[in-house]
Amino acid sequence: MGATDDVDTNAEAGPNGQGRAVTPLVTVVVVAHEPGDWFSATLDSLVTQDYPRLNLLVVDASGGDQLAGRVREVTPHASIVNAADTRGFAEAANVVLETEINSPLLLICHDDVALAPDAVRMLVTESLRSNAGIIGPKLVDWENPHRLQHVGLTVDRFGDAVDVVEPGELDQQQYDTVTDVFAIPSACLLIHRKLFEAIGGFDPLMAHRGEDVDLCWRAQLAGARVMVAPDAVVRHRQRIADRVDSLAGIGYRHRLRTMLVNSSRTALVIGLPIMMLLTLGEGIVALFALRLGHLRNLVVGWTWNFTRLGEIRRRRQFTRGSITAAHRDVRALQALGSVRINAFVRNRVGRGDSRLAAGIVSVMRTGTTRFVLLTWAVVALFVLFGSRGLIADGPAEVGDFATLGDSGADLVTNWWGSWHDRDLGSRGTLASGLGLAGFAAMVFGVGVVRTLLVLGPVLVGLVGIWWLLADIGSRRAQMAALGGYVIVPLAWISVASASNSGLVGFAVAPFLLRALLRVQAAAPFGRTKPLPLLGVAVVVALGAMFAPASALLLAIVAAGLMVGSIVAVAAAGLHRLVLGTVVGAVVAALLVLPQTLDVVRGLVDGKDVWAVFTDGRSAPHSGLGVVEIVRFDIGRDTYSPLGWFLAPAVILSLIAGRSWRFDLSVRLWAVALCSWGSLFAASQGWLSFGFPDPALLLAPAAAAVAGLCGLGVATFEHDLRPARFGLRQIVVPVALVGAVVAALPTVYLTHSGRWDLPKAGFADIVPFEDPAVAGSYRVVWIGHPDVLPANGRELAAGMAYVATMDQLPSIVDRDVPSDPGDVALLLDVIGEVITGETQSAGRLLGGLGIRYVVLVERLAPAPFSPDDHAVKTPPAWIAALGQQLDLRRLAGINNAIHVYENTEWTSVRSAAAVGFDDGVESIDDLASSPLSGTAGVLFGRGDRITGPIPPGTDLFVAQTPDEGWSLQVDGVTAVARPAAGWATAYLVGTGSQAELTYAAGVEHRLSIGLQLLGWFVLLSMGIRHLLYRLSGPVMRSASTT
Amino acid sequence: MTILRSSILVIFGACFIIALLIDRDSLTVDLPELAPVVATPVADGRAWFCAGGSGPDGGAVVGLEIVNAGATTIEPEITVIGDGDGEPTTHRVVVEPFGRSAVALADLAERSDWVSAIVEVTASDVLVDQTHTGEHGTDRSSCVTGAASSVILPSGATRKLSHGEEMVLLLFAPYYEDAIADVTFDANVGVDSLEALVVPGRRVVAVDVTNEVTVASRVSTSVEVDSGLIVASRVQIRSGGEPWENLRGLSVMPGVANGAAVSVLPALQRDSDLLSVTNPNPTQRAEVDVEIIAEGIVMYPIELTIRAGRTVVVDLSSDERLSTLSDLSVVVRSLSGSSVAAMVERRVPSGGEDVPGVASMGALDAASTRWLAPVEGSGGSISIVNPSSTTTAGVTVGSAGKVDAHETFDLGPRQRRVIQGSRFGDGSQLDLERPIAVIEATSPVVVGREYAGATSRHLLAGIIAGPITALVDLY
Repeated sequence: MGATDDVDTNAEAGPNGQGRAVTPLVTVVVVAHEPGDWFSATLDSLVTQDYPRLNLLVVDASGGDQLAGRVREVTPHASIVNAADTRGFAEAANVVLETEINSPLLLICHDDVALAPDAVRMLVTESLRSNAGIIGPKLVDWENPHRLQHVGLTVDRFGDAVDVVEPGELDQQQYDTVTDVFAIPSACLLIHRKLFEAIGGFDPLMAHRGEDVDLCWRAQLAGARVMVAPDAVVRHRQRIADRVDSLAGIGYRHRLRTMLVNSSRTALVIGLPIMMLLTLGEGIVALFALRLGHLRNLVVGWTWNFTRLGEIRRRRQFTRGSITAAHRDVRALQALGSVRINAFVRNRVGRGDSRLAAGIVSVMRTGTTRFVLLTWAVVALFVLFGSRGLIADGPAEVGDFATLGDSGADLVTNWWGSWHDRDLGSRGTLASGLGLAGFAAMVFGVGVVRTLLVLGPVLVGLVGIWWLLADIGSRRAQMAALGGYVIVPLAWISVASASNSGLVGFAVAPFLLRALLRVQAAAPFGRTKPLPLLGVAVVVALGAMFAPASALLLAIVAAGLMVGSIVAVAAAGLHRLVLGTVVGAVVAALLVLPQTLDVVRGLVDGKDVWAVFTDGRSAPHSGLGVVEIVRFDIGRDTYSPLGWFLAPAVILSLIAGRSWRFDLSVRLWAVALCSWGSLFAASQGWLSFGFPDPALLLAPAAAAVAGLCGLGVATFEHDLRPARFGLRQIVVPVALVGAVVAALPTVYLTHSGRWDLPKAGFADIVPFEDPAVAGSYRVVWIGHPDVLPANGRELAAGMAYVATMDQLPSIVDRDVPSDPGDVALLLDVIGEVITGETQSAGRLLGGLGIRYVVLVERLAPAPFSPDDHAVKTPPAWIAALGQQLDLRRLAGINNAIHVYENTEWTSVRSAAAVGFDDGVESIDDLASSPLSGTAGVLFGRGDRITGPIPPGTDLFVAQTPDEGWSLQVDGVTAVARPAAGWATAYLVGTGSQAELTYAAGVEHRLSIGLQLLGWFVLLSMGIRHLLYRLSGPVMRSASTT
Repeated sequence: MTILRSSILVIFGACFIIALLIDRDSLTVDLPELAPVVATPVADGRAWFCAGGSGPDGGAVVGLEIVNAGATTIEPEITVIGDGDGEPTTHRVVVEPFGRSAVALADLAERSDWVSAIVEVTASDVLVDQTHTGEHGTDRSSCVTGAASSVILPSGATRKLSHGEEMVLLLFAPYYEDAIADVTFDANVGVDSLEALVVPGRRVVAVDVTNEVTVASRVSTSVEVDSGLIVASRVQIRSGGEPWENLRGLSVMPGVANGAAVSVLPALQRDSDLLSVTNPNPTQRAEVDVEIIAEGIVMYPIELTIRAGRTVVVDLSSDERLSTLSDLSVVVRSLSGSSVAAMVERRVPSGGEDVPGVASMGALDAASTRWLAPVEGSGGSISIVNPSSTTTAGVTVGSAGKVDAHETFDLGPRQRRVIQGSRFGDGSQLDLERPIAVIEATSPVVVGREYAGATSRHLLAGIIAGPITALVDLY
């Protein structure tokens, strides 16, 4: 180590004798590590400085003699320090701390910078004038000095730094003002030696990245200003990645270390959890972007720091000794929020070459922006106002809006398992959407997710209808479509009638319509590939995940578009539409693989899988007339005929549109007609099979009608405004006035704050006993599909049934499984009861574990659902149930339901005397030989039930036999045998603690795994595609060096 | 473009117009077919409800006889229900194929004054009769296979001191649900009523009508249930008194459930029977034709006009037009279509050639092509009526468990035939064999049975054991 010169306080500080002051000695510390040819330019720029008192110290981080030779060639007086034993820039630069340097100022440089001749002078001058502890130059590109590289860094509380300048920004002297910044890049910075010594120099563990931010943060804590003097210009190559291995990821860990070392304790308490969340979010994006390396870096960043907590603690203690400024004062200099997120958004939105960015920029620049925002604000306010009761109190547990259970974890467990408790039990997979809802409930809580499951589809549908016409380039048309979708009462009627299918249809229909239109690629939809095909699949699959019947919309919409294309004599892209429909359906089936396999298995086994889609509805199922259907008047209350006033807006594009407006109008009309027609056909009894919820069938019509409203505006803009005044122009004001009038009934619907959804369900009135008292039991619900608390199976025309376990059904009981299990037994017994063939229904039902029979006539109990909303049970059925010798009618409950308690019930899982079912060969035998002497045990639901069981008994399990079930008693597997002609009995032996478990098959787990993999791949493709179009890698580092 | 646009508008418009034209406002919904609801007992495996009678110390000690006309042994479950606080008890009894088992029901509920029963059978071709024994006679009546919300007992009498007439109304709620009933007594001495009488579920309640409506020569009882279902029965005791000391007997009759627009009384005797017809409608009068069916004779019907809520009694012996008849059947038909309830009461005083005693039965509201009729020895008989006015029924009469038919004949429209019990035995006067007659016909017929023993008379309905046809559907 050599010594440098002392400070000459009498020297002059300017070449021309201007700005005279004491001239401090500056030692230039160049940290070199196997530099390339450019190093000569670096040395040249230093020796040609106009600053008179300059010493040069080259720290050779690579060792060897080669560098010394190159330095001597240029400047023989330079000091050279061998720092081959150091690792990285920071540790090498810290060598000056061990060197006897007397100069008050240090100019620390990388080996790839070239200083303008006056750079040092400018820095020193500004440093002295502003009393800056650290000051840096304006860094510009090495090869193109007109492009800015760095003019200081903005830093947030997490140690994240971002350039003040935009990447590649041209230098137009826009930053040429001396200013305070939080950090200066270490490529070239002037620092007071004493400050550098006081704060301990660079953090030696930060080899390459983040050391500058850490240094400046500590300098600020020590009371020093950090500034940038743009008049000092330095060219910088900044290609460290070409020279140093394993740079990836160290920036993140260094940022975290910077935060851990320099933040106050209070800031850490607040900041660390936020940092964790940000990391989690970043990790999820990285995961779906298949940037696994980045994901690894995030993980390593945390583990690297947490394995060095002791060292971090010591460094905090050291830093504390130099602190003279308050943390809050330093915090005030930092950026608010996360500069990383800000930079991400700014980088992506600010670029005009991306569609999204272009769209947003376009929106912000066009004159309709304020109307767009106003429209969305009005719609949002309308939805929020109309839903105020739902948001405040949550949706009542009626119809499809069943409870999610006690926790999201239960829901996830149910989804992960493969056993349905509903009906008489069956093997199958829960809809994937419910698994998703379970995960969401674990994070946000059950109540929030229940509300989201109701209002979420509405909001999604509104966004979908906005995007439906995004390609036609008219914001006004999009606004009109949005307004039309709000006016059409489908969503609100679906909420009022607690129809999950209707809501999912409302959400899916516009996206599906748009996806298929893009697949067809007829004007104005451009031809793109292959994402539109995947778009169809994704939309269909997402819908099916939450409402399996919504998959049928693909057929309706595709058929409508095909018919429309043919009728409009605009068959272009028809083959693509057909292909897209088929491919979309196939890929969608793969994306819901477990459910698809269930359906396929059911088909192979000859089961009635169509029941999965019909919710127990039969043909004719609604009795709706064409007028009600076209007006979307399918609710319990008659919807106002004012809805007809929307007709002029809907028909405008058909009678006045030209070119693609006309073609698209015809296609949308055809979609609407197909949608209306399908429901009409079902209502008229033309179909021999049941059809799904009317609200679901009408969803494409609603989307088409809304789209036609938008097309009406496009027609006005393109075809009517330029034309001479005529009859067609008169339609425009008529349509406008009509739309306003048609909106009135919808506005009225907001009065209840719940869209007329009943305020309360049956939970508080049903007298079901706690299953913990006497064991688990089943409840049979019989009624019209519109009022049943779960989707049922067809019992008779307009009537359905469903059996659920233990009190009211939960959301896992909602959907009809593809595998009916032994539910035919239940159907037979109910049939015998309602036809008067038996008076011993209790005994028969008791053998099936059924304790209660409930005839449901209204969606909710009185007074929340009035009598005129009732769908009456046939009186003969009530009479037949009343004539059962072993059913006790529980009187005085509520007018909405008739509840019968089975006096001969047997628990679903009961301990029974050995030989309890002797002589019982079939369920019918129970009429003469009822099960007796049983006691309920092992109460609960799911695929793992534990509890005590009396020794020496048989465990009678009244559910569909399945080899996946097994009983362990004190760790010993019990022998199973068929019981009572249909169920299963286990020989308990002498044990006492029992565990009844169901082992899901490998194929089930495999199918879920494949499904998740499919979604993962698809999401990755989508994100990568999006990010690609948004022009930039996702995880671009904000580090500057 | 204009042509295309016009064409499309026409096509779309036509779709709507066609839909409007073919739109059906209302659609019939096909629900599972239910068997006709009739009051006539049906032996198709459903439970039997026996309103019962008194306990061991009462005046109409009740017993059961379970008749198995099937080929397999059965083990029906009998639930014995008393009028006290005790819980119902269940018992099982074995009945051999084609056999009968008697159950001393009163002995199974010793602490009850009145006893009812439910007999649960799972096999068809099983029927249950209830027997009653009292100081003044015996009776036998069929249990019923359905409870009802409206029951009518057109006739009764309560002149206890002067004529020895006592009447008890048994109300039995066989289901778990309580029955709340309004009971109206329309007597020749006035109208009385009991309102909101609670019959607890699975309990029997006895109403002593003798105390409620005193000294009435005719009491018509109507029971309307607001909630729940009941089985009602009338216990009529005639102990003989001035000037009726020759008329003694015990008569227990199940109430006529719901009434019917058309019903048949298959076995009447001109000389001793009273026909009572009640119009239960509280607001409208009923025009009723009583059509006479007798062998070889066609007669004009007896036309009755019955005021709302009232009862008309026809003394067959006083009708000159019937003077040439001895046995007959009647079809009671309400011309207005409203339901009426009819019953016959037979009163045969002692001292004559005929077996004395009293008996009664309600009219049958259903026909069938297959009937069961347990025969009580040579003293009994079976009456078969073809209620159709157009179809001739080919009838085969046999015995359960026997292959050969006893008798085969054609029964023309509105014809009746009586088969004597002796046809089933060896012809001796004291034939102790009690076969179970099986009557099969090619078209629906109605079957009744009667028995005249040494000291008592019985009138009973046959038991349907085949497809059920409501009589109103034949008219």
